[in-house]
Amino acid sequence: MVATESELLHEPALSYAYPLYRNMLDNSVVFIYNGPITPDLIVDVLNLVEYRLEDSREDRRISKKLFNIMVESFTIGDDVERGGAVLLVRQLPYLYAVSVGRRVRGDSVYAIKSFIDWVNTCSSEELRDAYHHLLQGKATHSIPPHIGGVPSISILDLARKSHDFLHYNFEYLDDFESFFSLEARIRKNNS
Amino acid sequence: MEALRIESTHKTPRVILDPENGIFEFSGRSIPEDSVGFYTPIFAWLEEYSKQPLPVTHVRFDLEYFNTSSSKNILEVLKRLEAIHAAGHEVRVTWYYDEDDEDMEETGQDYQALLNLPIELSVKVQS
Repeated sequence: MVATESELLHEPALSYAYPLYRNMLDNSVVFIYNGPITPDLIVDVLNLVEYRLEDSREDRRISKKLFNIMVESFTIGDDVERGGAVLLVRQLPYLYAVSVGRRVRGDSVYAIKSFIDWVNTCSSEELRDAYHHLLQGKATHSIPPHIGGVPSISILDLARKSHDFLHYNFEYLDDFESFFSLEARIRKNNS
Repeated sequence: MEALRIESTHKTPRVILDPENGIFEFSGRSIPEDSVGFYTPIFAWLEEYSKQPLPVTHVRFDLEYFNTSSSKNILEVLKRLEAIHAAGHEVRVTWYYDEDDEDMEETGQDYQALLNLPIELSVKVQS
């Protein structure tokens, strides 16, 4: 179909491109994706990020950790029926931040928030024990396998791998849904 | 009993279960679309092998990366090997990890802690 003259005069991408570019630059975003998450996509994204890391000659230990955290972040974003998920990687001088965002049921916000708050208070041994429980498929009274569609074991896994607090945010969408964002950070001096 | 050979793809591992020589190998990436679907034939094969295992079975895990869904299935594989070991047939597992990959090393330690099975952690030799 041929675009009309009016459509050509109002190409919206042109007005979005610069603010998007500027926003990514200002927030040190090196990668962003929005859409459904599939294993094929994960492989493609990892290849892309690997290429960028090679370019910046990143320490292999940090690269490995970034990869492992990205793989698990994808797990949080997959299986989302509507709207897919957003994935974002930021590269700052002293850390990498991997974020995943997805829609969740509004009535699960409190439970997800409480679980992450609890995870952020745990010692590495407590995280390990909780992770072991879930890995074995043992139901615990306090940790169900999924909270509002989000796999609990993935949150524990991200906390263990990042050795840092998990950061989160919820945006109210309507009476039924909120947008949940989770960020795991990898400090470059992580030891 | 026939050997089970599954070639690797960019999202699933190479699996070799050789009953004649008692050498098993899992290598590559494990982020399958359907993790349970991928591992179920492996569980079934191991159940069959457990009826008449060799006196010694060597198992090599040399994985690049995998998600927690695969972790659960790898644990199930190891549990089946643990049962063979507990029945008096030696099973020796070697868990390889890149020296820069502390998460892969930690995963090996998790399996060591959860199972009554000799799992040796070994740094991969860089080629």
